[in-house]
Amino acid sequence: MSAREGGRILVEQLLVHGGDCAFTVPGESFLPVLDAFHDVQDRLKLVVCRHEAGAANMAEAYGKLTNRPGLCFVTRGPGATHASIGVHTAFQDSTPMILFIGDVGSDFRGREAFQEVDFAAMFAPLAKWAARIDDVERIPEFVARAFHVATSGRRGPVVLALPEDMLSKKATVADARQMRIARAAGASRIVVGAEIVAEQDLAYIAAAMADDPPLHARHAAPGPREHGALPQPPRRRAQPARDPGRPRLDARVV
Amino acid sequence: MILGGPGWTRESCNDMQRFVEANHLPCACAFRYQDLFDNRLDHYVGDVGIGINPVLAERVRMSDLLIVVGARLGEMTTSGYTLLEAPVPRQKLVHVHPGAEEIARVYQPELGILSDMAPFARSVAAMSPVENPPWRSTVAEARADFIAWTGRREIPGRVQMWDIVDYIDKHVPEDTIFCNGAGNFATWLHRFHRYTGWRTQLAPTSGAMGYGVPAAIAAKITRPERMVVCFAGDGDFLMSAQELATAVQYNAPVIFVVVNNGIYGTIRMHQEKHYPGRVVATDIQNPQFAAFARSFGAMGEIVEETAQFGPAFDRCLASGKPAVIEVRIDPQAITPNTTLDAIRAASLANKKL
Repeated sequence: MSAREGGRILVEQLLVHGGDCAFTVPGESFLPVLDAFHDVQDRLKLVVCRHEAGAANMAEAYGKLTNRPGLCFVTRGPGATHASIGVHTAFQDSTPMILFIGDVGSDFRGREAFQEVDFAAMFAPLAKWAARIDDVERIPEFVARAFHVATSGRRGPVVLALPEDMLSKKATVADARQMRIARAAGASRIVVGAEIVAEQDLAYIAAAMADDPPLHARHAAPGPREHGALPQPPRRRAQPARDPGRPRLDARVV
Repeated sequence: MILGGPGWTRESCNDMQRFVEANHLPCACAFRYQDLFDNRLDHYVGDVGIGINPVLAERVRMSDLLIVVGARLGEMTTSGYTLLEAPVPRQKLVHVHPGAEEIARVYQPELGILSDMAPFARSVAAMSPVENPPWRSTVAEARADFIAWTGRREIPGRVQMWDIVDYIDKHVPEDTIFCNGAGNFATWLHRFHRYTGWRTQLAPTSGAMGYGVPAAIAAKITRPERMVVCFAGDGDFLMSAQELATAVQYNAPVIFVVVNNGIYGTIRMHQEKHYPGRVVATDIQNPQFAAFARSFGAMGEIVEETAQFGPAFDRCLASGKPAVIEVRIDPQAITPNTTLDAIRAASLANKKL
């Protein structure tokens, strides 16, 4: 295993997890990443956009279309603020996406250096997870987690800041394995290797349906109402037959 | 039954369709997830989102049982938290979602199921259907409401948007991807177009203007074998029109239909509702979009009456290039239901009361 620059380690992790396309407006803050893209253009298409909002929206749309994280690379404060619209949409739309931001070097951090922003703080309410990779040797760990967070549970955007000096450091580290995404299977018991929904939950749905004559059997079919007239709520009825002891609110994890 | 949210696949949508059809359930889709159920099928009854068919809203409100699969029960899907009462809905609610934090976020379900879409859909598709359910006739009734709601209607001016959407639907492949950003213009697409199935729609539930153009370009680059049509408003389009350069650079022949009414229409509509006659900040001056498009090396067409649209669309298709069709509509045609003048008059009359 030979030493690789941080930018190259990062791009090779994207390939490990199945990345085949990324959207960017280039910035000098992440030149080692761009340089690594140079060598993998046959496997990973780099789409150069004209505004970071365009790049982030394209990455979001890629995520929506493929169920895989849309990948986007932008620079520091101006690039990241432009790109934030795509992160917000990915959050509201539950779309898997990873925004990588070229960040100031650790030697300048905290001085409000040129275009410096605390991205973990800035994206805290916009992203599912926002973090900075400080240690070049932990790039595989952070990128693997980013893919998993973006594509598991309620999908959403992840933001990773990449300090310039971290990207140009060399390290001898192994690639991660391709991430297999853990899925909620809806079962109330652990079923190894099977993806099923618990039988009693299905039974409940069947019972709930069978228990419910349509409302219009009891009321007139809905039609135009006089302005101001409120619809009559359906009467509350007895609970359907179901597992004794089932709590009213019953969301469970495998 | 309301479908929405992330993580669907073609297979899981097919599974859900089997469950819906076997049990004769009326099926709706959440705001801007209209492609999760083929709109042409008899069990599809409309979208539960912004500008919802009031008859459908009433059905949701008055329903006994709501099975919500994948959708967040957010502001847009609940008509501002009014279709269901918080925190205990009147309806019996079954909420299936892949994220535990979304279940019971606002509404306590009778049954919450933490599940990804594929395993849930596979499981319910294999359930024995309810025999001769008493709600069976509801499907046809709700479907008739949907057909009536989405039927042709005349709008002011020389351009009829229903006819334009109908023309596109009849002249593009079934798997065409339709994109849009945000604004009242999106209503023409959302209401008149029939989404044919999974991932034929890319639209922002966030309501972000400027989304449609880059989304369409990304779609064409990612799925070059599929046709991509983008609906944009004039304001919406110019928020990301610089990406036309990207479309040309990467040879992504998207057709952009720019519905130009010269105003920030959604805001004007609300302005007239709340401050009738006091127009401010909603008039905008536009470039000539066709010439603008040609300056990028794209096609540019102008449509000022309905009959011009078909030939313009065909020329764009034939060119094999990214293309912008500027459709100039009467700003009075602010929604399929009403005009700016009518909104203003109604607001003024209300104020006098």
